[in-house]
Amino acid sequence: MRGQTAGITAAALLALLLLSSSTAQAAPTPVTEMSIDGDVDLNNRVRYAFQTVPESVKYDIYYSDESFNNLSEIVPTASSVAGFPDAWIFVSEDQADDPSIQETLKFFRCWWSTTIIPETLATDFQIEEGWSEPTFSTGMPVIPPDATSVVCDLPGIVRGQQVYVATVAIDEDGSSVTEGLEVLSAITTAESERPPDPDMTRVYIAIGVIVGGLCLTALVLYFLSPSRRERSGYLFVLPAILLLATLTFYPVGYGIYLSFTDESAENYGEGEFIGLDNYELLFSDERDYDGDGDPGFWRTFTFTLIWTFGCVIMHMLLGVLFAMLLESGIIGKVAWRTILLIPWAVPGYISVIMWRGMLNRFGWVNGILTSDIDYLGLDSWAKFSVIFVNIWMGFSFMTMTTSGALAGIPRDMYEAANIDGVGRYHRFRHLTLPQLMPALVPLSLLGMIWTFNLFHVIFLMTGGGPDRFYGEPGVTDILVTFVYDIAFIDGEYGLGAAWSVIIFLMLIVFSTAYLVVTKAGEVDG
Amino acid sequence: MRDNLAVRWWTPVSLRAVASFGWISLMIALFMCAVSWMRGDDAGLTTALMVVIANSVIVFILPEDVPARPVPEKFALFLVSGASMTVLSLSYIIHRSDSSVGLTLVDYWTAAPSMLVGAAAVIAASRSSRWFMGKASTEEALNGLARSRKHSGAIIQTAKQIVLIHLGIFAILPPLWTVMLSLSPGNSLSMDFSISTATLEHYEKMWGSERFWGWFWNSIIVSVATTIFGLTIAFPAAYGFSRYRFYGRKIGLFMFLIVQMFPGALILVPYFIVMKGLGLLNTYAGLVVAYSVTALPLCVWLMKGFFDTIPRELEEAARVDGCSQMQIFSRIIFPLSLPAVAVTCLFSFLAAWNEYLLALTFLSDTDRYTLPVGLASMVSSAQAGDSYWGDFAAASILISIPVVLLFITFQRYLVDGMVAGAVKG
Repeated sequence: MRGQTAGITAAALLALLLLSSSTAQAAPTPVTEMSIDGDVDLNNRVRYAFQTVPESVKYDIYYSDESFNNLSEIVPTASSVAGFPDAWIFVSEDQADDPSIQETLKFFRCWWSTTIIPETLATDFQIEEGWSEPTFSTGMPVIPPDATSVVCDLPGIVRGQQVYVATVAIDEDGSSVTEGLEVLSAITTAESERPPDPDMTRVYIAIGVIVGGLCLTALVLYFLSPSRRERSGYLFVLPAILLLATLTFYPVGYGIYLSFTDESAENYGEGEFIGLDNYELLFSDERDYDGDGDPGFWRTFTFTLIWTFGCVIMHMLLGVLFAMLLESGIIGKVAWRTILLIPWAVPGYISVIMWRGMLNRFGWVNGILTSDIDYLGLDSWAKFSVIFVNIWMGFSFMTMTTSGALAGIPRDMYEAANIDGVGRYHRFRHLTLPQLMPALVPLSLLGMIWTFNLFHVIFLMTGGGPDRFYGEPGVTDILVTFVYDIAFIDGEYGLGAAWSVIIFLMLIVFSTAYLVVTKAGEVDG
Repeated sequence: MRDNLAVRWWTPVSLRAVASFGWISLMIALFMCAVSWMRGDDAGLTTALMVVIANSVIVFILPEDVPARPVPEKFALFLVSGASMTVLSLSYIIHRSDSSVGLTLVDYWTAAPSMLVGAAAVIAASRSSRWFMGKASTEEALNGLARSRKHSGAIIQTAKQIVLIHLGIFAILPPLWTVMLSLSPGNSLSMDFSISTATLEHYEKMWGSERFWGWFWNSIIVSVATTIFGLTIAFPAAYGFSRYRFYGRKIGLFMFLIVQMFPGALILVPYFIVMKGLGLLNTYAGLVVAYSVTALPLCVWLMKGFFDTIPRELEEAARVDGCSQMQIFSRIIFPLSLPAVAVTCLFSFLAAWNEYLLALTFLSDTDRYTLPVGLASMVSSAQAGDSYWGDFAAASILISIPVVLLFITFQRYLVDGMVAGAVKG
């Protein structure tokens, strides 16, 4: 995940619009020259630049929903905390990264230089000479005192809403100058001010061909059909088949095609065929931003497997255990069943956000346990937390299904076993388990497919974070959440499609196993 | 013979009870270790680990049947472990009360079971000394067996109920937290809930919030339209697959099976591009079509399975009596398959109601957000977490209650449907 904020309010396409820039200039001027420009990054970021002020030790950047002339007029945006800056930049000679803070907090991108602010910020100006990346302290950039221009990609701006931004320079005494604030506004929107939509005739033609072809096939089959009675079946199933073909099989095919093109949000609709380049890029050093020799694929893949198997195995274990408890003649079975149903019944996204709040460093879990652990901010704890939450969300469904299967086991088998003096373990191993297996095996395979594809738990919990390095998957990113980042935050559709195809190939393994085990492929005659 | 058997199989019921409850206290003691470790409380961790060891001795050492020879060492171990469990958990409590945060509910809860079980172990063992020494007479054994029969049911039941209470708390804690959060004043995460300060302000705010109701109606429109549209397509298809044996039928059915395995992520990118090309982003129609297609395979399979159970003869008889195809549909098939139709509707509705990923991708206009995207955006802060948590909690409760009631009412059908291969909601 690129940055916590970036992920949380995702943006599909973005354009920036320079709307107004009030120029009330009164001495002393805090920040002399600023500009704001667009089409930067394909997420909810706004690229923003300002000229530094001598003697400053810190620059506070404020967002507001309304235009403002001094800090008390700020109307905090959805992501702001009243009275606090949304981002800040330190000025310091000490250019060392804060060792206690992980790289992962650097969601705030920034560059500094001793030159002037470039004409337009939309270009790749930062690759030109004179531009450097800052070091970080407490997740915020640190620039040297001799920097004169600063450009940053402001995170956490909700798309489609106008936001007003101002920078306040803070001097050594900690006092800030709020008069004569230069407030710039930006709006991040999905479509406005984008180049006109590309030619979609290809898509129309493809859909037309599919619909026409299928209709024609149906027509031919209809008239060739030997049985006058049975052939009406075609008329009944045709609409469903058409829908499935145009909106599932065609997109899948199109996705596979996309993975061989360099289609992205910028040259959208005009992607060119580039062969297997995307697949090479998946494993190439070009995308290895943190220089650990892995562009993130294997790391993500490993965690995806841990996530999938960890969750499914725990679901199975707890499900069987709790179901046996439920079915062992307890008082108030219906009431307990209803209570245990709740984790499954609460809408998934609500559960995830509830847990996110509880596991927050200042949340309830730390409060109850009187511990102080940043469950979602530390690598291992974040991994543990997402798996734990998914176990909480999934165990009750497994309990329900398993208790249904258990109830179907004939009682007299147990009575016979009791008379023969069979021990508890053997009763489970040789009686219960074999009876449960036909239900458990397909369920666990299905569970694996679901968990492998489960997007919203990780996306809403950690957004894939803690982040490792800009451009690399976060610590808790699984394959599907990282594909989302590539496609909709980077806007690299082709590359995203290549990842998707790889995921698809992996899923085929699970799916084939499922089809073989359940014999579901052998539809009835 | 009968006497010998009684002696051989007899274990004092009090010892059995200690072993049963010992399992529960062992689990809680393990949790005590985890909590101490998370607090970075090394002294507490050491104590907790010793409790675990003493507790394991009690759970694992009990001989199943009467010892063939006297086992004074087991007797001694029982007494010592029980006593040390009590003493150690007591010292844990004292240790925690000295700490900076003082005693909390968690401390009492983790220490109390070991204390009680330890004390019970000491009492039970000292009362069963004759049994440990193999000196119990036949008469004692018979009495003991009778007591066992009388009490063991209640003991096991109590143990199970205790486990279930813990399970229930585990299941209900997050929703409970949300309820408390929604009733606390202020919009921050660090709530300080108490009955006296409980307030309905968040509920009033959400109830009167245009934005919330906007999202709500978006969700209702999309979900209802998805259900209706999906059913209109799926119903005839399921009927066709069930009733007619045409060429290509098996391939068609198989297609409906495998699309459920397609990863959402694979379809997402091309879906987005196609929807964009068709101008369906940010529209209800785009979402409705997408959701209907996602739910289609399950609907078709569910209803086909049901149609297969309706005898064909019914229709043939109706046809002989001069019913048209439409009449057969409306007079016979539809009324008979009403339960299946209802379950299918419920599925489509809930799937659309809870869907997050597609809605997030397709909708960029906050006024078009459905509830999942809208609610998630309320707490999407990257900051320390001070977004609109109170409001979010109130809205979540308002939305969850009807959904949870639906789940509880129709749990049988939902479980069966999910097992039939649904997409997880």
